[in-house]
Amino acid sequence: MKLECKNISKRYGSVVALNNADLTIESGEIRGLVGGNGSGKSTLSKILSGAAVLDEGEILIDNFPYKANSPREGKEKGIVMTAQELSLLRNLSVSYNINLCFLDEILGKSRFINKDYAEQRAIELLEMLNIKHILEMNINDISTNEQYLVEFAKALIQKPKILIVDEITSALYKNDVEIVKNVLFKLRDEGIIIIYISHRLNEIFEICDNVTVLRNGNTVGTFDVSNIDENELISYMSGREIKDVLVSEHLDEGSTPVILDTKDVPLNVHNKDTSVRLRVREKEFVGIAGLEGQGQKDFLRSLFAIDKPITLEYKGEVVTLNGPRDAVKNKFAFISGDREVEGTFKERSIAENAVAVSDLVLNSKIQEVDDLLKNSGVKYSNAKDLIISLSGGNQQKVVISRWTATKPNIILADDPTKGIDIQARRDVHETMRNMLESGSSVIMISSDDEELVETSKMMPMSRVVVFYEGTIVATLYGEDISLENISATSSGKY
Amino acid sequence: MLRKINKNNEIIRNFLPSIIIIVLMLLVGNILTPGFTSANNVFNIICKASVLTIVCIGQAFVMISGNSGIDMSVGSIMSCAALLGPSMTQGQNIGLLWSLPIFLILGFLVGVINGLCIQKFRLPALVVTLCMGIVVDGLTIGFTHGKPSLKIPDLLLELGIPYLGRMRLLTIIVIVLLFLMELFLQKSKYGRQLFLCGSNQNVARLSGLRVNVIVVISYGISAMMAALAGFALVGYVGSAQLFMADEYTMLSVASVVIGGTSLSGGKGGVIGGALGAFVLFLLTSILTVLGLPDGARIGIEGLVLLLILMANSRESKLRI
Amino acid sequence: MKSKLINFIRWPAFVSLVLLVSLLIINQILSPGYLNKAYITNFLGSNGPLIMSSIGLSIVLISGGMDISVDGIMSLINVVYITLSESGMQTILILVICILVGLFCGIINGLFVGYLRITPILTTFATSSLFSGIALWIMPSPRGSVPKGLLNWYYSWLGGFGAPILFLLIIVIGWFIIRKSKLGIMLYAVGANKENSYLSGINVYRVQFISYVLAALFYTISAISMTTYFSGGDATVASALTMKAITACVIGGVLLSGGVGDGIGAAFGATSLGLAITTVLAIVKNAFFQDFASGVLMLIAVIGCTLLNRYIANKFSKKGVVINAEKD
Repeated sequence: MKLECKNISKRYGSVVALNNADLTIESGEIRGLVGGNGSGKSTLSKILSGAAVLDEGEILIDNFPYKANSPREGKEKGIVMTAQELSLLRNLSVSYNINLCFLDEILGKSRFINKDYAEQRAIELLEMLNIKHILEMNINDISTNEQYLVEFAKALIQKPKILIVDEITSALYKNDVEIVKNVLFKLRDEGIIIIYISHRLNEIFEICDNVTVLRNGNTVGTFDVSNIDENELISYMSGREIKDVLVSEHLDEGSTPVILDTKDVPLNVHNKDTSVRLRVREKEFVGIAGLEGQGQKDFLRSLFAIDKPITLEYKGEVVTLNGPRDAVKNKFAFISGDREVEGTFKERSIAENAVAVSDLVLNSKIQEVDDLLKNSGVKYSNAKDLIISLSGGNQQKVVISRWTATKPNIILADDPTKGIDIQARRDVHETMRNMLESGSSVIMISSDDEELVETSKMMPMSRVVVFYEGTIVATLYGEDISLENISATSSGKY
Repeated sequence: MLRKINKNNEIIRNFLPSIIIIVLMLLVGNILTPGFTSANNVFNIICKASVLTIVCIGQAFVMISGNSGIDMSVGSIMSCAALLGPSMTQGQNIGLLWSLPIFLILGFLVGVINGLCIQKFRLPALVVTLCMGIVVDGLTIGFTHGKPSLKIPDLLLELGIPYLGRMRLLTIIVIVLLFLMELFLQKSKYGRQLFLCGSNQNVARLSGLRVNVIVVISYGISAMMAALAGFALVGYVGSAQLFMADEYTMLSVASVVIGGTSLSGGKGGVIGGALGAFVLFLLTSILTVLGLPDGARIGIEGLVLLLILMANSRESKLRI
Repeated sequence: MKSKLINFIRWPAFVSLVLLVSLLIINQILSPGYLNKAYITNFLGSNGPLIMSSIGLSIVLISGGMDISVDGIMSLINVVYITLSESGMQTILILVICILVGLFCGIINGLFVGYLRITPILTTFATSSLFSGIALWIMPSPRGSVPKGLLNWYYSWLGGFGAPILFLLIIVIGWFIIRKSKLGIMLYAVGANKENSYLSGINVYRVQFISYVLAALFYTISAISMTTYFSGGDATVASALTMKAITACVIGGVLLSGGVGDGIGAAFGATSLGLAITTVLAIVKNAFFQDFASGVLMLIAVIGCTLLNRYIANKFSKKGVVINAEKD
């Protein structure tokens, strides 16, 4: 069997997701697919599985044109994808979820559901994945890593000919990954084409035979994993050699007064209660590293009093924040990378988005909205246009300008550059640096270790703390802030 | 194409369907019965639409507040105000001086209760306001014992009499009110905050806006407008009966939607609702002119509404 | 044993069952011995239609839709039924035609919501006006009667209990069939998350379509029962039913956001609404304030039941982990 994708292009509005991407895979291969956020990995897999329409290009399977008008058609033709965002239904039991695809055809011809048969089908897979005990539970009742395994089982049960595994391991423990790996090897030996998407490069090297690199919607190239090392791969992904970043003179820890002491912030990761305390100095940049779901997001959210009040020591005084409004009034800022949910007012204009906080909450009218936007590097034609007329990166810059306009003391940034292109990213980093120099302190989570390394080099005073299972396992300064150190400590090697 | 969407353009684009429909219907009406577009007839239709417009102003506030905001209690509040308001005045004009403010405040309070249930308990607006409608209806029955109100102040009755040329006094008042409320919605701090809340309550909260307060007030405004509309209705009709304004609930929702304000919140305005109200009453009057029986008229109205919805209220596709 | 109990408490209909039982007890205290034969037959006759249509509505709500055309469809069936019976048509033929008309209404709703993707509440408002308009057109003022044989059967079969219970039974069995079928699983799936259901190969549009058709079928059966009970035609007979049915569903633990609930809960909710009226009649002696009191009671029931359901969903998870059912 042979899968060929030729010149695939896909745009979402003005955003180009894929631009002439090519991919050729033959039976018995596990192909890694790597690339930064927004490089088009997920879009490509959605197109293959039938969940998205392609604008241009063609797909051939064994030299026959392939076209899927819905995920169902994709599945009927043997292409199955596990979704990074999970395609599980939270109100159904694990066994129904696993059997949900082709529910009307499998489990016998009868119109009635045969619960025992459904469980019987599911249990074999669950046993293989070592999570037999969750069979009768609801998706809501099981933990995140188990949910990802269920998503995996749901794909396996469809007996795919081409299996796309999209970031299934990011929430898994080491022994789970081992199990997944063995299953994939077995499938490969049975002649199934596997496309494996992951941001953990060590897994790519362990599991895949070859790896294809995507950058900005283009396929950069395909490499045999035995002929390439991690650094080369990273340089293909980022499209540059070691970047010429502005390296600041590094200040010692403790040269400016502590502005924020978070006290012990309680966290709960994988049902384990922990707490984290962080002291942040004026003009300090604190990067937070760690794999997804290690408590760092909850920590940052707690500081902005998003879900419940918090008491912390701020500017030498004990302050209780009862909610985001209090935080805003105390000159905190919260920049989220999840623009849809936590960033933009989609129905409103660029200008309204930019002045939302300063004008309507803090009552300090912004005289020149255009200046504000230009300072953040937003490229736009008219501030009265709707914000969704901008590209993702520019939207994010508008969101950031909303907060820079308030001259915050503390900037809490939760993966602020998620899914935006490299140029926009640099603009965002530049803005952060300007804010630091004008007196703000920044606490920034990033899911991209490279970004942390890069930004901490840019900033006058910086450190990176690494979260693992709800605690800070390492604090890195200066030269120690490196990809190797971060990835080693974030997987628990410390 | 997406890049070109300017906010102002979008407002015009939202109004365009209703304006086109209005022009078409006026033409059709004139063909069917010459004299349909006579000033007297048109201003009469506009006057009928004016009452609905008042309700639509409030309904628009609620729908802009997002979170599938809808106020299903407006009809009941209108009926209540129409029945109890005039009877409180003893038929004296001077009585309006206290009865109108009292009912506006009471209406506002009812709306605040709606809003509190919706925001604090996170209950669906549809159900809360439906139940509130039943409660208000119950109050009306309790206080009036189901009898129609007889004494209506002359001042109210004058609302439906031609004033400026063929224009009715009510229409003039409503037009002024409409522009004031549009100005309030688009320019005041509260209005701008409401748009942001409706667009994305989550981001609004993270930005430090008092989302609950803002949304609750929008329900208050809606109920207050409904109370005002009750007074207008009794003035226009000349008498008040139990449940007389029931149909205004869904009519107001339909008008606001036809006028380009979406149920998903965060955008729109109050002028669209006025256009929508005019569309609905224009349609009604064309169908009445045709001599269709009530049932056929209502049926055709439903059908036309369905067609309008096909043009402006479709949800996005699952396949992207 | 313990997990069985927790499962029972977690059943979305549990809270409404508690409400139902407490109302039965309260009524017994307020007016001892009220639960006699006359009360029950009368109750089933007058509240049966609400109970049945609430179960029908719950199908649509569970699949993430909304239907405010309940009264429109039921009025239309009522009018068609009476008009046909006046023309002296055979009873069985009348029933068949009624069901066909009901299916037609459901198909219209389903087409516009499912395949044409128009917001459910607006679609069904428009179709409600369409259906009730046609009903009013056919029968501008109340009149007519049902065939004598049918009427006699309805009021006398099995001591007067038989007919209403038979209709209810048809609906409840219908609900269980749906609940246990593969379609039922898909209804819940689509209601919980359309995108994920689509990714799982479910034909979301078709499932939505079917939900409206099935619901309309349920309303039709309910309307047939109602018409026989009232034995007359009136195009506005069902006018307050939609609101009550939605309220009953919410009390019964059906989430308007979709994916959660049980038709049986909706039935409990509807029954409670009926019983609450008895309670109000017993407490509030001033006839003019009884509507107000029952309205307040309804509002309290909606708030109370929703909050309790939410509390249970949060506290009684199988693993003892606090989860939030509202978040997806």
